Amino acid sequence: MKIPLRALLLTVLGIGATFGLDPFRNYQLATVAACFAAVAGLTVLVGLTGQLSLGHAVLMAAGGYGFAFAASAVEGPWPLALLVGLVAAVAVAGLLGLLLGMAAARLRGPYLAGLTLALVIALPSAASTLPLGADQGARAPFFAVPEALAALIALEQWHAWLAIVIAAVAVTPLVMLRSGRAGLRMRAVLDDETAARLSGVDPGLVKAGAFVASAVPAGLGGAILAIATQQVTPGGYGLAFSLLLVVAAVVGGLGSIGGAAIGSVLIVFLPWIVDELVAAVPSDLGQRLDGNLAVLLFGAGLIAMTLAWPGGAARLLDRLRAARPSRLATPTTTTER
Amino acid sequence: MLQQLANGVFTGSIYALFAIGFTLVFGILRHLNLAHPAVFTAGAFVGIEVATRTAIPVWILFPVVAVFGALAGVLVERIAFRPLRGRDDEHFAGLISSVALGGVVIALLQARYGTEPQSFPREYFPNQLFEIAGIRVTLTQLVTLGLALVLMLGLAWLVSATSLGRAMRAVAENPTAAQVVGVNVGWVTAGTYAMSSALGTVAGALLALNLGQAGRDLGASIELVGFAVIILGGLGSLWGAMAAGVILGLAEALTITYFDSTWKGLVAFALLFAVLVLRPRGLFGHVKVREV
Repeated sequence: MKIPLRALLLTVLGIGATFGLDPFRNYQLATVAACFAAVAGLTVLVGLTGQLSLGHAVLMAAGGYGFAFAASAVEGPWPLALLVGLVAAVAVAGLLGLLLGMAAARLRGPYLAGLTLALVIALPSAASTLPLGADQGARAPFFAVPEALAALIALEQWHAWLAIVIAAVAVTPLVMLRSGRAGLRMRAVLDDETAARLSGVDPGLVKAGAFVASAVPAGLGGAILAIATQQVTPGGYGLAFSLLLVVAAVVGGLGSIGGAAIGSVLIVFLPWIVDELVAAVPSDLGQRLDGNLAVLLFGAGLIAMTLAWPGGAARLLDRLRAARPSRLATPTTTTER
Repeated sequence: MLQQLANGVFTGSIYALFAIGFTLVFGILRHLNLAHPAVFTAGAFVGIEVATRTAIPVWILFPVVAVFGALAGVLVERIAFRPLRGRDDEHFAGLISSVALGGVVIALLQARYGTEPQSFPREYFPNQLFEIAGIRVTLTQLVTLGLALVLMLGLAWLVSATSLGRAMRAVAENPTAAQVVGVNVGWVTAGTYAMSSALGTVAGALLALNLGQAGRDLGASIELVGFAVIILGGLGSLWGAMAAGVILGLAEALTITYFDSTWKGLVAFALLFAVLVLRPRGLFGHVKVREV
């Protein structure tokens, strides 16, 4: 009972915070919420089962496409369209997650990483061969501010509200799953597959299940992005974005949901801050560095952090409040040992 | 038809060259070096710059590029992998730091060469056309195939028959034991990276020579097929990578002939998925029941 209560409190806090932000910040907040949902799924997958997916952007894209097509097809009041869209997002992302999970149950670390990586790189090709609208992508329906609120809040703030609520709906079950029996099974499989099998846990089932559980919030994250940007394009879910999601999970600390939130804020705001700084640099140099310095600094920072700071932000927080160790220690073991 | 197959073999030989460098590092050191595509791109750019500035012939250009690649490889190992050695998340952390390093390399290339694709000087390499048994091939394609064959066979010979190769295989089997019997693991590691990146940069310069130009996305364009080749062949297997390179080159040529080029990526992925589900360790990989 504690987890839903805490989630409710955080959701209300988040919605309250949107009142203090201007429209652009609210749009960024919606993006953070989308990333948070996906990174939370990813961090649980990697941290608890040791399966590294480099392809979570594609799961987001799957959710986004599912949302866009299903919600556009509904003719009726907006809550119905939203609900149908979200169900479709869950279904499509979940199905793709199941497929990947079934393959993952048979594959070892680097092979799985390679397969999911290939999935990301194949996305543009898939978008132009399947009826997904090629590079232009699909249009997602527009959700206007409801009339009762129209005088009170701007469009971006309304979208931020939707984003926060959907992210909460996506992540809360994941947190409950993680701290429940399923989480124990995942840890058992990660620690020693043979031992887990001997105690009656089916590693294949656990791995595939974990992949689905991780794909669903990622798909909902894609739906959030579709709402906020009103479109889904393959270019938005490229390799760089997919790797950023992994970065967020690692920076935050694998397996930690709070860390996922920190990581999501970082990957949305850091590139933006650096771009702003570059814009301030004059003329030729600025042009050369445009959209580039961010990658450079981000990469260098990430290397430094991987080397100097294993365990990510969550571990650092734990160390800061060492007097009060958390009940469930953050798992630090990772893929392929 | 025969023409398409020949084109497939030429493309496949570049894929294989990209892939054996990557798979070598994995086979010996169990590192997934995701900076490899960036090093590949850097090889293309450096090749073009050297060719433009000095107009040295192709026969000298490739050794120069290889030396650059070897240095780059040593740097990659020093920056992204060496500091992590012995940590229990070594492999995973190395994956992350090499991804980051790859991004940094691409950003540096953009800072030096700008966003426009770079081209080899006109008439740098005579694009002579030959006709062998009814198949048209260019001189560039012949050089590509020849160089790829020589490098791959050379590497296979080096790993299986020289003392350095024996040391590499010892490290692959068990680094600690190798250290105990007097193998300098640090040197072998650096050497493996140097060879891997030299192969990668030469492959990049070769692809650029075939295309006539190189953009920042050169590495990304080969990444999917490159990884598919490595995984298909079985990670760490040199012969597997070579065979899978040619298989995927052929598959690509046939896809373009019978469907159209947008299907390229999807077909590569479908092939990869199918093989992995049937043979989880690739075509030539070995299945171990319990890994340590």
